[in-house]
Amino acid sequence: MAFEGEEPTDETLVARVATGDRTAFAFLVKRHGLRYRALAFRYLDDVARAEDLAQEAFVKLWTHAGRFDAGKAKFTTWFHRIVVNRCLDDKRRKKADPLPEGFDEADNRPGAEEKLAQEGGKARLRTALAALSDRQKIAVTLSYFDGLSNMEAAAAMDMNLKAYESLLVRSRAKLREQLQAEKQQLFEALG
Amino acid sequence: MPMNEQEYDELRARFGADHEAWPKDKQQNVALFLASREGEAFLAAEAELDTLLAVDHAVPGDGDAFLSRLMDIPERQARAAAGGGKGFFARLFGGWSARAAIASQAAVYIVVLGVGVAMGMQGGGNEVDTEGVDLSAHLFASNADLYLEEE
Repeated sequence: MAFEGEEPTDETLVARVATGDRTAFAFLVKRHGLRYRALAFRYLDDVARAEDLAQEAFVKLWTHAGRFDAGKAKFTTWFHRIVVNRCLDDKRRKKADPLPEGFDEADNRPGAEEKLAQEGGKARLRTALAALSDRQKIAVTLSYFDGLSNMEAAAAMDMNLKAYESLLVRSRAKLREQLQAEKQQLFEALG
Repeated sequence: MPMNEQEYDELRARFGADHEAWPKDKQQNVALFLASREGEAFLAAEAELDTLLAVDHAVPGDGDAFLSRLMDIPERQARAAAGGGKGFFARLFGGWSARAAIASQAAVYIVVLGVGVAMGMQGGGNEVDTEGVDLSAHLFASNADLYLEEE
């Protein structure tokens, strides 16, 4: 089924997906596919896993579009919640997996030489982000990388606005702390 | 009243980075805080964090290939739905294949265990002469001799 005239809204498209409309699904994929891939990647820092999780979320969209209630939330809020929950579940599963026998957990703290090589801002930010809790990392991802309003991000994380704002405050403070600590270590390493 | 880092953070989380968008009654406190030595250091750390967050964090890999995979979802789901239940085992076991698999494994374990126990019980006639290899018998005997000699 083709769409004529104005661009259909996400909510209209999801209603059509619920009836098995593949064109509507393709519209949603083109409009949002890369955004949710990026969201999962920024949280997981692993492209393959991020793509798998985002794909699982789109499979759910195809098979369960009928569960979406446009009266309760915007499509993007609903879908953010699906992707965020999948990311958190994935992390939980990873933590539950026992390490193989004889496995020594890698020390992720970069040495002085490696630090000098890692001058890029991305590497510094990645290191600082790694120190955040899963929920803090999700909050930073939603607010600063994905550009959601606090209200949208709070809804995506199933939190009230005030609790979300507190989470964001703690996340920023911890990021600043980490960056300062990293800088201090670098100065010490350089003498 | 002077402001501290936490209060600044809370206002920023609520109203955004642009101080002019903050409530008027807070703006004077913010200006005082940021003019202090503590505020200057804090602002420098904030600016650094903002710079890092603004770096383009492009996702590596092939985005077009990923979109193609997503586009194929309806087709793959349709194929899976049409193909599901037509395989040999699927036809054989229907919807209870998982339960049948568990039951058949349990049956195999019981049979193997039963055969093992039966063979063990039948093996009672093949007595092994352990006398010749029981070194402990000699050990106790020799110890006893030593004690007798001491007395």
